[in-house]
Amino acid sequence: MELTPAVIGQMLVTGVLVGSIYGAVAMGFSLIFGVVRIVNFAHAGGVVWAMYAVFLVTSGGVLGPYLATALVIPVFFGLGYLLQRALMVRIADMTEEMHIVFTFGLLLVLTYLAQFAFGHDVRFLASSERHLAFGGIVVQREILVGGGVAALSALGLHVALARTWLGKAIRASADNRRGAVLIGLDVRALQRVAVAVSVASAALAGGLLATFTTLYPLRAFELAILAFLIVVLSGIRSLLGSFGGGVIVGVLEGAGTLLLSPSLAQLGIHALIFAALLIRPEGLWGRKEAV
Amino acid sequence: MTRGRLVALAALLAAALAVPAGASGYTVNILTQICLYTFLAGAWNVMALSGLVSLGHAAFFGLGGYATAWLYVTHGVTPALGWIAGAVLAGAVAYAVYWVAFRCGLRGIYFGGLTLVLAESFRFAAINSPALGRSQGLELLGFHMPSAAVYALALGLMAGGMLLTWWLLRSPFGYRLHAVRENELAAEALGVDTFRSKLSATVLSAALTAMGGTAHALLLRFVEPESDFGLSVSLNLLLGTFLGGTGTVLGPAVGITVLFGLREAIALVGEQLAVGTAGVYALQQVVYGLILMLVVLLLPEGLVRVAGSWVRRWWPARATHAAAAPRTVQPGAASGPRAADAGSETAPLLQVAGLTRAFEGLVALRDVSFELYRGEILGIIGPNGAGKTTLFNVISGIHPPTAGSVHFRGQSLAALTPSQVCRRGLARTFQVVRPFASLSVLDNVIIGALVRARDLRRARERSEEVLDFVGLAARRDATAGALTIQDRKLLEFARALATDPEVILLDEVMAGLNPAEQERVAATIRRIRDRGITLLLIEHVMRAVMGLSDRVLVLDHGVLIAEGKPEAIVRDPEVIRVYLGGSPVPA
Repeated sequence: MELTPAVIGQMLVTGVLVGSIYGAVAMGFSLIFGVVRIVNFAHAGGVVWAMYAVFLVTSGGVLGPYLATALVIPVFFGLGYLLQRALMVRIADMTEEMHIVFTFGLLLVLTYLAQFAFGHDVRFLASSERHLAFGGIVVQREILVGGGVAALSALGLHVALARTWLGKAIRASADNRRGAVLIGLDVRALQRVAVAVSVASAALAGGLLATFTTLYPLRAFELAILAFLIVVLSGIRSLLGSFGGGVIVGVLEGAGTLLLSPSLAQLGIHALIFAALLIRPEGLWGRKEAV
Repeated sequence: MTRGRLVALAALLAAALAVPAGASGYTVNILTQICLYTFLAGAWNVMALSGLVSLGHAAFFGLGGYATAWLYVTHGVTPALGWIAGAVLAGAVAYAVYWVAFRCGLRGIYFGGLTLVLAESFRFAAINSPALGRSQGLELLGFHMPSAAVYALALGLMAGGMLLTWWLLRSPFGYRLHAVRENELAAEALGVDTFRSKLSATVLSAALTAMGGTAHALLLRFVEPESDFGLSVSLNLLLGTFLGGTGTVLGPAVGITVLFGLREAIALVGEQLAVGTAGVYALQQVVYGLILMLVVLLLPEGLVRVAGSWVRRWWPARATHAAAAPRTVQPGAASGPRAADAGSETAPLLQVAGLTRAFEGLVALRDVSFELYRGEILGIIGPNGAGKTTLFNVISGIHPPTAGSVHFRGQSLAALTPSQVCRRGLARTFQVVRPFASLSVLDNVIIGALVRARDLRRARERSEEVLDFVGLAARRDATAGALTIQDRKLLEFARALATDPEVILLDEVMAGLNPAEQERVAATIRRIRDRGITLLLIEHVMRAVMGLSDRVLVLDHGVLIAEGKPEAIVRDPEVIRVYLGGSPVPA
């Protein structure tokens, strides 16, 4: 393919949009780590289950994918609340290694339960075949909507955490748990809300992804590795940083796929993250931004 | 190990070797896999001994398999050589990667991320490499090894691996790794070169994993990106070790056997339910995931340790040993009467000149200079935030100074790591005590004694002597985490003493103790001085500092504002202003 400005522009726009959704996945991942101090690999399992839910509802012809997503989000919010209440709280005081083992276990359960239930066929929703073109750049409608919604909700989450009382309370309990307890915050309840928000964000990202990408159970592993690496790349304590990391990875993936091949692009991304980790061991955005 | 046990083990091995003669191909295959994965989990465990959790050991597993296969397919090199080549390659890669990782201070999830990304990079590299057969991988065409031989190889690896772990756990190296795992900073301060310990464990673990990878390639006669570099390889090793128990000899064997047993059981059940092979596989993975979660929730110590505590409950006689035997040791016998030297030298033992340390904008120490002479007790007082602990951290090599120098016996301590400073003869304790909580009191002290002792036996003797000296001999078999605050402080003393230092830096050892306990600790400090050891102590408890110290320094906001005899210091108007806030000194 010839590298005209339009092709490059299209690659960049698509990369940023898809990367925004990756960023949303990574943000949910960092939110849990920031507030509960648990590395939740199972986050991507949630994303894939949301994808299946949206896929099944939509292909049943009942609702459109966006309405289906809107329906799935509150359900996942409730599941996240239960997850924290029933499981995560039990492992909170253990070491980071134990957290990794536990949430990896949960990821395995979620992934292969999906495989058992839905088989390992690759599925996808029919595209609307509608594209938006401006200045020679053509973008599929689902990608534009998906990326736009993901970016807006990432921004919304950031603003909510920065401005609202609940957001400030969650940040306070993430920053200094004992201090938060001392000033009368119900830290456990705040943690449950934060995990619920995180799992709900997984549902949102999953619903958006389902509109334009393929779906298979092992996608959960790929997304888990991707989200983990984005978060490690950008520094896990920073929510907006994670979003930015997602955008960077999205653009790199687009560029690599365009210039090389999808699998070479993956190799390049991994090599870059590898180098970035060694150069900035606390992530690209370091510790400067708190949750 | 006793001769009887060795004979029993040899008999067991011989019996295991004879299995293929009478068993079906299916049984031999399963047993081979169990042996092989036990070996691999054991290799992973070697790294875990130092507390590092790798999510990407598939990187080394795949390197072993691919090196062997590539050499065989392209150059016709016999797998016996490929086996070695793979191990060397994996060791070299691990050395390079982890050297940088440890130097950069990668920890926690960032370290986990690095290990994961390493394996994934290799997987994508293999997929993209025509020489390695892209996603098809390489097939060892024409290579044939009888299944009994592969089984014998796997069995040998497993036995060798378990012996290695057994030996490691009893070696000085194993003790150091355990210390690193429990508390890296404390280990470093006790003379353990944590960087080298971690790197050695990692390289050894990687090379062993590559050996297992080669054996796996010989068993399957092909290598392929997903099955060699994929996440599930790394996961299996982690899973088996965690289930059985990290840091134990039998843990990997028990964990892997249980996992494979479950796997086969699910296959049988799946056959009855007619869910198909894909369904069986999915169910197996779901059960693996559930096991991981349950292990963390219910038995985070692993099966082996839980079983061990049951055994001890039912046969309590086995747990006791010769601990109760009384010993007579002369305190101080090992170090000799160095006290006589006190004050007879004019050159300072420790010389701090113009020391400045800034943390970004905040200057914690500004141009601090003083000297410490052999045989004296020098007290340092100052209000909170005066820079006392920072001073200790700079002297002991935890923080490099921003400016100025520290000379010990005339030699500069600049650019030395805390463990090197300790080896030079300058030990320290921590204000917040840092015991190796899961180790026994005696083992805690042994870590320190290994700085000087050439082998464990000598280290143990030295440690017992030191424990007698500080009065902790009766608690030597207790777990350090179970000690009272006072005993923990004494343990800090004992560990520091065991390194056979010339100077000990004591950081607020009196804090949190009642007056009677303070008196006991003060008496211990005097007895340490009488052994000829020079002491620099930071203290908040005024009575103790004034009663103990020959000279006192006063720090305020990082600046040395007074120095002199205790009697003079308590009358110094400047000291009274900043430190005592104008109120009289408690006598």
